[in-house]
Amino acid sequence: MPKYIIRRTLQSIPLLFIISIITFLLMTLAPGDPTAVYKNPEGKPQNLEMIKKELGVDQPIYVQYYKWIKLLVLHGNLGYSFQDGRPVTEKIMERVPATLELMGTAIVISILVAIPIGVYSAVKQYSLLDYIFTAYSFLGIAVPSFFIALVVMLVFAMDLGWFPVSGMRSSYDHFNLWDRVHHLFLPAMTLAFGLIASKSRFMRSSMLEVIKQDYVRTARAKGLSERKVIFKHALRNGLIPIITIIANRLPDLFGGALFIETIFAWPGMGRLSFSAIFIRDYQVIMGTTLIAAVLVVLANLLADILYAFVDPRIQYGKS
Amino acid sequence: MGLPNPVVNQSKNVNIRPQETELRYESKLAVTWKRFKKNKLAVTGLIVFTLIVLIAILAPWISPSKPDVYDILDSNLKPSAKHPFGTDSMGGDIMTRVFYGSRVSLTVAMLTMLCSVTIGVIYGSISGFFGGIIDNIMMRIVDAIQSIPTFFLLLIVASLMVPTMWSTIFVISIFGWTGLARIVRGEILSIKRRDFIEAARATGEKNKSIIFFHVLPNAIAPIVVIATLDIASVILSEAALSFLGLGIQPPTPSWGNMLTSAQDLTTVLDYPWAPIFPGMFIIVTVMAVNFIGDGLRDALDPRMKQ
Amino acid sequence: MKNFKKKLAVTSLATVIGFGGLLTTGASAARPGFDPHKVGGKVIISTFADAVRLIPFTTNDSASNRLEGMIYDALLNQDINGNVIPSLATKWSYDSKHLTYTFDLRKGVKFHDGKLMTADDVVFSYSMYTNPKSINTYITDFESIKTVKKVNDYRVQIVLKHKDPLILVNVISGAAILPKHQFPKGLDDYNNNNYIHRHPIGTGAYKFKDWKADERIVLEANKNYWDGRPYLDQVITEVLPDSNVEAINLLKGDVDFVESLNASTLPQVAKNKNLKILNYDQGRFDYVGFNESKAPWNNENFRKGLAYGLDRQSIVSKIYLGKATLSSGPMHPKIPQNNPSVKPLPYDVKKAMEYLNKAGYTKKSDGKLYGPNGKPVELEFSYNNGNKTREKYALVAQQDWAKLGIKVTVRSYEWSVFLDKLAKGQLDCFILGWSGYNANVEHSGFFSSTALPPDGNNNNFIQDKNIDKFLSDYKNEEDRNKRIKIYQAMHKYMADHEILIWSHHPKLSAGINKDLKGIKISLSTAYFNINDWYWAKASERK
Repeated sequence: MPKYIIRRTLQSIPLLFIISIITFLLMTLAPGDPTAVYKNPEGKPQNLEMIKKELGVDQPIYVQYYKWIKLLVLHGNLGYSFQDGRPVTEKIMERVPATLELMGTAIVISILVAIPIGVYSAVKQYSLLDYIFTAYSFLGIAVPSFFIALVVMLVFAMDLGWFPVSGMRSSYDHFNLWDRVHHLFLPAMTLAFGLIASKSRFMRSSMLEVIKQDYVRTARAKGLSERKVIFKHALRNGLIPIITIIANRLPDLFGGALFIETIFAWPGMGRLSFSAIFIRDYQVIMGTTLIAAVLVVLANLLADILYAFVDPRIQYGKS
Repeated sequence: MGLPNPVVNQSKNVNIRPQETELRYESKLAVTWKRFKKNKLAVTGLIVFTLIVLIAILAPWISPSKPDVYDILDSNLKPSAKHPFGTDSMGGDIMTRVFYGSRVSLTVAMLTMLCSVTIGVIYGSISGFFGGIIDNIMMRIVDAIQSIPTFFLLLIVASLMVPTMWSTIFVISIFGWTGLARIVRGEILSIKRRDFIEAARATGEKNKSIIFFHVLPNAIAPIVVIATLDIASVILSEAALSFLGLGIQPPTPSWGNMLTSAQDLTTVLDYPWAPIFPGMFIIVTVMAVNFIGDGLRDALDPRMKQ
Repeated sequence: MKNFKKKLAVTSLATVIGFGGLLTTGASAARPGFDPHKVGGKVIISTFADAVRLIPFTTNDSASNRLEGMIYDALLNQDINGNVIPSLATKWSYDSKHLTYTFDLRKGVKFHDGKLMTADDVVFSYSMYTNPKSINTYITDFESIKTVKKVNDYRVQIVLKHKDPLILVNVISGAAILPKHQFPKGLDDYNNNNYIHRHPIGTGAYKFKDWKADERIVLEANKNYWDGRPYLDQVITEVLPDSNVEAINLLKGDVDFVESLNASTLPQVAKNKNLKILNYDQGRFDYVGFNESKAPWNNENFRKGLAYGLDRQSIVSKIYLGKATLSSGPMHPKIPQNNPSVKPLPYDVKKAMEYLNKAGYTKKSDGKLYGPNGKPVELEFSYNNGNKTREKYALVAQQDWAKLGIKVTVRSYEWSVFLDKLAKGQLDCFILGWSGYNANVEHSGFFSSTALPPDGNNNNFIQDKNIDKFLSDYKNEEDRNKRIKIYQAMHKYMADHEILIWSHHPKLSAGINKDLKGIKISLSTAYFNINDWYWAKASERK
C-alpha cells in the first residue's frame, strides 16, 4: 500500500505540470492589464512601466512561466499577488480552511442523506417514497444553485430569521462552535441540495445493480435476514461507485462553491480566484487553480485507498 | 464539464458497456425504441422537450410581441391577457422573451453538445485506436483538465471573449468533451481487439475507415446517452455563466440571462413572475432532457432492465 | 455576478476617486460642540470588495481609500466645500518668490502607537511619495515638488520646481503623514512590507484593529485624537459582494450604513421602518462617450444631432426615477466651476435632423440615415455588463436613435475588457461616468491631449487646443476666482461644441439605520464627517 501511494503521488506530478501549463496559457491569452490596479486614476503619465517591470509582466509568456515554475520547484513559492504584493501561498492558506469547512460539510451532509435515500429507494423500488425521492433527485439537479441560494436566504434568514444572512462567523475573537455552525448551515445546505439529488440517484442505481447480483441472491437464499443482506453485503458494494463519484466531481464542486461563497459572503478560495480573474492577478489565478487541483488529486488518491477497504477484491501494488 | 451545478451526466461513470452481440443497426434502433416507449418518464420528457423545441421554432408566430420591443412605462406588469407572463423591469414582454430565449438557449445547448461530442469522439477515437504513447499523453491531458476546477478556467476563457452566443458555445464546449473522450477511448480499446476489427484490418482497410465504420457504431450507445444529458448540463452552464455576467448578453434573451436579470430583491419579492417563467423553462427543460437521457440509458443497456 | 459587477461599475467610475482629500474632522481643533452623550456604539458599513492595502497611494481601490481616510491625517484638510483647513499643520505660508510653502506642525500629536509626530515623519512621508521607485499610483501629482525640508521638529518647508497653485488642495491635503519609525527599511517597506500594509498606523481619528481577509476590517476610536475622539467606538467594514445580500443585511439590521443602494433594492429599504434613505449628490457626470479622433464622432454637428435626438429627460425621470439632474458639461451644478448660464440641450428630433443634415447625413425614404460616404449609419452602443441602469440607458438610446434612422446594436462587455477597449479607442460609443471631484476639480487627466491612453485617461481622444489651454491656464492661475472663471468658460465651450454627449449627474442613495445620526455627505465622499456620526441612544450601545 505505501508503495502504491508513493507511485500515485509521483504520477500526479506531471499531471500538475500539465495543469499549470494549461492554466498559464489561458490566462496570459486574456486581454486586460494586470497593472490596472496601479493605474493612476487621474490619468497622468506615470511609473507604470516601472511597475510592469517589477511584476515581470513586460516579459514574454514563456519567460514568465519559466520564472513562475522555477520559483515553485526550487522554493515551493507560488509567487506574489500582483494586487497587493502578498505571497500567494499566504493568501490561499487564509482561504483554504473556509473552503474546506463549506465543501467538507456539504459533502458529508450529502453522503449522510443521499446514502439512506438511495438504499431505501433501491430496496423499496417503486414505492411512494421512491417516487418522491426520484422526483427530488431530478428537480435538485435542474434548479440553478444561485437561484436556490437567494430563495433560501430570503425565507430562512430574512423572513423566519432562523439563520444569519451571510458571513462565516460573528464571533471573531475566539472560536465559537455554535456561532460557526449557525453561519454554516444555510450555505452548506444550499450547496448540498444539488449534491444530495445527484448522489442519491447514483446510490439508488448502484444498489439496484448490486441487489440483483448473484452473491446477494445467494445470501438471501442462505436465509440471512433482509437487513443483514442489505447492510452487510449489498451496501458495501453499492458504496464503491459513490466514492469515486465524490472524488471525481470535486472539481465541479469548487465551481459550485463559488456561487455560494459569493452570495453568502463566505471568505473562500472561489471568491479569491474569481476576483483574481477579473483583475488579471495571474499569480493568484495560477496559485488557486493549482492548489484546487492538488486537493482534487489528493481526494482521488484518498478515494482509491478507501476503495481498497471497501472492496477486498482490489489489491494494490500489482499491475 | 466543470459546472457549478451538480449535473447528471457523470460521463466518467455512465454504466454502459458494449453489447455482446453485433446487432444490425436498424434492428438495434427498433429494439431501443420499443424499450424506450415503455418508460413513462422518458416518454413524458420527450413530449415536453418536443413542445419546447416547437415553441423555439415557432417563436416569431406564437409570441404576443417582439423580443426587442420595450416600453419602460410598461415595466413590471402582472401577467394579463396582453402579457400572459407579465413584463420585465425594462418593459419587455416576458412570454415573448422566454419564447425567443428558447431559441437561443436551445441552440446553445444543441451546438455545444455537438461540439463536445465531435471533439470528444475524435479525441477518444484517436487516443484509443492508436494506443501506446499517444494514448498515454492524450489521456494525461484529459486527466489534467478533469482535475482542474474547470469552472475557473471557463471563467478565464469567458472573460477573455466578448460574450455572444458563439463565445458561450465555445467556452462551454472547450472543456466539456473530456468525459466523452474517455468513454469513447474505453469503448474503442475494448472493441479494438475483437475479431471483426482484426478482420477489417486483415482485409487492408485504413485506420480512418476502421474507426468510422466498425468501431464507432459499436460505441454509439454511450455517446447518445452522454450527448443527451449534455444538453441539460449546458442549459445550466449557460445560466451559471449569465449569473456571473459572462453569458449571452441582454438585450438578446436567453433563459439564463432572463433569470439572472430578475435576480434582484425587489423583483423576486414584488414581481415574482419575472424570475419564475424563465426559471420554469430552465427547470422543465433540464428535467425533460434528463428523463430522456435516463430512458435512453435504460433502453440501450439491456442489463439495466432485467 | 450581476450584482457584483453592478457595484464594480460604480467603482468603475470611482476609479477617479482618489485625491479627494482625506476625511475632514468637520471642525477645527477642540471640536466645539462635543457632546459626551453621543459617545458609544459601533457602526457596520458594507463594501463590495475587500481593501487591498492600507498604506496611502499604494493602491487606488475605493475600499482602501475610504479606510485610509479614517486612519491617517495629512498636513491640511478640506471642509465640506473643499476649502483648505488646518490639520496636522496649524499654520502655513507661501513665499511665491522662492516657490516655498512653510508649514507649522501641530505639537503633541501622537501616532496610534504612541510616538510623537514630528517634522521627520513629514519629510519621510513625502520622500516615499516622491521617490521615482515608489509604487505611489499618484506619483505624477507630486511632480512639482522639488524638496521637502525639515526646519526644526515642528516646521517643514516644501519647495516647488514651478508654480502649482492647486498643490494645497490636490496634493498636500491628501498626502497622509506616515510614521517614519514603522518603516525601518524606508521605501522597501513602503512598497513591499506586507505586515505594514496590513497593520497601518497613522494619526487619524480611527485606529486599525483587525483585518480578516474578505470578511471584515475593524477600526476603533482613537481616544487620544488631537481633535477629540470620534463618537463611535468602532467602524466595522464588512465585505458583502452581492448587492441583494448587502440589502438583506441592511434590512435585518446587520449592517447600519450602505453607501450606495442599488436601484433594485431601494423599494425594500424604503418600506422598512427601521431604515432611512439619504439621497445625496456626488461630484460626477455621466456622458455618452466615443472616440473623438475618428469619424463620425469627429464631426461636431453629428455629435449635436445625436445629443438632440437622445431623450435624456425621459432617461432621468424613468430610469433614474428623478434621482439625477440633466447635465450640460463636466461640472456638477454644486461646484462654483459650473457655469449656470449653460443649459442642457433639450430633446428635439427636428433639430437633431437639422444638425445631422448639416453634418452631411440624410435620411432616405427607406427610413435609414445615410452618411457622407453613402452608407447607412450603424452604431454599437456599449456598457459594462451587469450594470442594469446602463443597460436600460443603452436600450433607450437604441430606440431614440432609431427614430433618426440609425441602427444601434446594444452590447455589453466585461469590465476589464471594456476598459481595455476603451483605452484602445475601439468602442463605437458607450455610456460611462466620471466621479470623485469637488470644488477643487481638475479635469486635465480626462480632457487634455497630453493625457491620451495608455498612460492617461483621455479615453475619448479629445485633442482640442482650446481645451488644452483652458486646462493649463486653470492649473497655473493663482487667483481662485479667476481660476473658477476659466473653468466656467471651458464649461461653455464644451457645451457649445458638445465635446461629449453630456447626459446627467446621478444622485446616490445611502441606506441608513434610522438611529444613526449626524451624517453629512460631501461631493467626494460619503464618510466626510464620520467622526461626528453618532447613535441616537448611544449609551445603550456601549
